[in-house]
Amino acid sequence: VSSDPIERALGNEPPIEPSPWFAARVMGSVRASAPPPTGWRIHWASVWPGLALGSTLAPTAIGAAAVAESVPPGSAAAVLTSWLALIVVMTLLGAWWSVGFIGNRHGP
Amino acid sequence: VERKNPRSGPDGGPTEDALSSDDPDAGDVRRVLAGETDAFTGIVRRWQRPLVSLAFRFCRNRSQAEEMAQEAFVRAFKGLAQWRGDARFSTWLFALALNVFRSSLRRAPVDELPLSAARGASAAGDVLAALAARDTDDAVRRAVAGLPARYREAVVVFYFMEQSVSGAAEILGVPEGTVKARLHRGRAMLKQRLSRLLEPQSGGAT
Repeated sequence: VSSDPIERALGNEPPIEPSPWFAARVMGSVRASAPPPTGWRIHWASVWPGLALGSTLAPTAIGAAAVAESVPPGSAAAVLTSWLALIVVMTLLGAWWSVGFIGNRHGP
Repeated sequence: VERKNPRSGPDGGPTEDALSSDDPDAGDVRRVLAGETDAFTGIVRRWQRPLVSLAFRFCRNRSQAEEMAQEAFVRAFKGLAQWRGDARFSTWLFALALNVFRSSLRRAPVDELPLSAARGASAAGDVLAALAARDTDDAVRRAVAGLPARYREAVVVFYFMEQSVSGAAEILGVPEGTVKARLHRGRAMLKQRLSRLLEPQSGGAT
């Protein structure tokens, strides 16, 4: 034990035991401060790639549809148009799934 | 002077070894960030005693210390994503708590009344009784709470971190040399104040 009263007093201070209900009270405040659980909170970081891809492909698909109108069914141009339309639909579905899945999270 | 014991954390917190081998804080942080708010309970239970103890050393009031620690926990929860894992969780938590305590003490400063109150008590009774270890320890701790903020923080955090200058420097966010200088100045101020407090009363109280 140090003979210096400052060293002795500060170097041997016992810890303070929190009240028994302290942790519960803290968690009450923590839960109150957390955003409420929501199934449709948009997680924009995940949506942007889908939207960007969709907005790139949509004009392509529209252009291809315009071409398809002037070509006979079953031709190469018609098949290409169908594929492009399918890609657009899948992209939009992917973006929607991202919003629905990630939006279910809730935390700080 | 480095006298940190690597086997024990400050005020009963998790040891350094425990954190490095199987870090429960990192696991809880991951779960909280994944949306499991209740996983924060583990962090609160592990760190409540160190945080309340640290707060108490600043304000010397148990209920105020719990309020300050509670605010620190809520702030930690909100800013949990800012912990990158490059520093130990405890260092990040204590540094954040220190900011919270600083703001809180600015709003409600600790007064220095206890020093003069202790002096009055010793003057009324036996001077030797005032020098009894418990009273002296209490007077010293209260005197620390009355120091100017920068010296008070250096002194409190240094002893809280089991007299580790590097540990205190990490939490305070200043170089080790600055910590040493503030400690030196803080101790000098304490000695000056306490010498006035503990000097024998000439002629006794009237």
